[in-house]
Amino acid sequence: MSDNVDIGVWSSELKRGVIELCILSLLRNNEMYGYEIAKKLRVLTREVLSVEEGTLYPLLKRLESKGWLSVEWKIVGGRPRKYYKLTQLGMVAFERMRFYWDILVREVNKILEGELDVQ
Amino acid sequence: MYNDRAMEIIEEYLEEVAKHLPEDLRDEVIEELRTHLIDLASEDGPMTVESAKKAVKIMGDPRKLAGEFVSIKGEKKEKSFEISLRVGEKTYRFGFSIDVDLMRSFYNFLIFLVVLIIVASIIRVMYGLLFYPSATNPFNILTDAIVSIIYLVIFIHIAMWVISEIEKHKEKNYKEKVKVIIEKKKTVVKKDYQKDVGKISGLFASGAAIIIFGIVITWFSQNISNLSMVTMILIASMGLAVIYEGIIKIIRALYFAIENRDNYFLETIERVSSLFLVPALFLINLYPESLQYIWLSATEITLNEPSDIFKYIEVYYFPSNLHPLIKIISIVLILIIFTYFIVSIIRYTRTKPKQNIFYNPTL
Repeated sequence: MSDNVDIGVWSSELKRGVIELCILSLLRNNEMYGYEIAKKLRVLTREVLSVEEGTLYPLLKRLESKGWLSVEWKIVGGRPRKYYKLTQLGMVAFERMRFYWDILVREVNKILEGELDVQ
Repeated sequence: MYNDRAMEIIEEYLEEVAKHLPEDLRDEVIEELRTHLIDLASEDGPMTVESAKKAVKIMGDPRKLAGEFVSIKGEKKEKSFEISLRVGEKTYRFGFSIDVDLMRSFYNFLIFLVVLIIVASIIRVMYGLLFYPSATNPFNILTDAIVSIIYLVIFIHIAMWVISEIEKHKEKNYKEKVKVIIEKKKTVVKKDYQKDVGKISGLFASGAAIIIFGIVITWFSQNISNLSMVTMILIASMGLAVIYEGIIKIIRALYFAIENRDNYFLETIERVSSLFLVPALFLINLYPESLQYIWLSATEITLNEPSDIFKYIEVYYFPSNLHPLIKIISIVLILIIFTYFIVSIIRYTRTKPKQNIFYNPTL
């Protein structure tokens, strides 16, 4: 019975916004290229936030077109790599997202803990 | 040193992505994806055919991937065309955007028609001044040309916008479908039964349409004699369009029954059946006075047998005050048909799926 409970869609929708926040956070102090970002997210979150390869680059492009990320091409190890870096505008966006995230987690936790108390 | 075959696999995948990408993004995105795929395929050591196949599979459907980039461009474009209307607390937004895929065609088509109008106007002025100098007013011809160009821009924009909206809706459905398939991680290729039912009903509907149209035309030709040439050509064109579409639908259904997949080429050529109407519409535009309409004239119809209905059917010519309207409608229809034809061909050449052995969305 419990095998039929599928939270796949819900979890991927939830992750989508969080991944954006995490990418901005990763690029605060370091410039990184796509593959490096994907790998870092995977390792740091122990696969919980593994971004699908097919969605990473469109997401980076979206952030770039918003002006939140700046890019620079470099030849590293004989291969051209596109390095991403947080812009001033991206930093503002990150700070706001971070603030909102803190409030969201706190308030949602209150509800979840309340539910636990009732049980 | 890369494994050549492994590199070929990556290049074939990238070629497929590139086909669906907007030109201005293509080089940069492909370069970035190439490096990523090589990194991914070399994660556990030197790149092999297997690791390259695995990497492109992880990357997903090339068309969907390219679609994500196109949608980013679309978002930007939509904002620039959006009109917001604030009523009280609510804000209503109206987007009159043209799909980025169609934008270039829109400009090309427009430039072609504008040049055509300019050339036609110049010829009109020269011809008039040479043969009817007293009756030719170049200023009037110039005004005609400007008004035609304005109408043309408005009309083609609306037509392209409608097509963009339809395509957007279709793409949304496609994306949702692919998303559901991937979410469920199906491991067996299943038949799309809905599609099957659609094809079978299409097969019967096409057969029925051809038979019914054949019967109607036969009845008409035997019982109504005073039809003008233009009206007859119009009816014949409609018949040809119905028969053509029906035959293609039947071939598609048979192809689907044998191959268990749709044929993209047949799907495209089925869409352009309306081209059969173009000659008739041209004739209507040139000779609106020859167009007729069929009317059931009796107020009380009594039928002893089915053929009695022809006693009440009468054929009339359209009154002369409606001729300008007929001319406008016919030219608008011709433009719609041509726009749709060009869009269908562009869609076919730009989105034609290539057989991809590495990726199957149902796996």
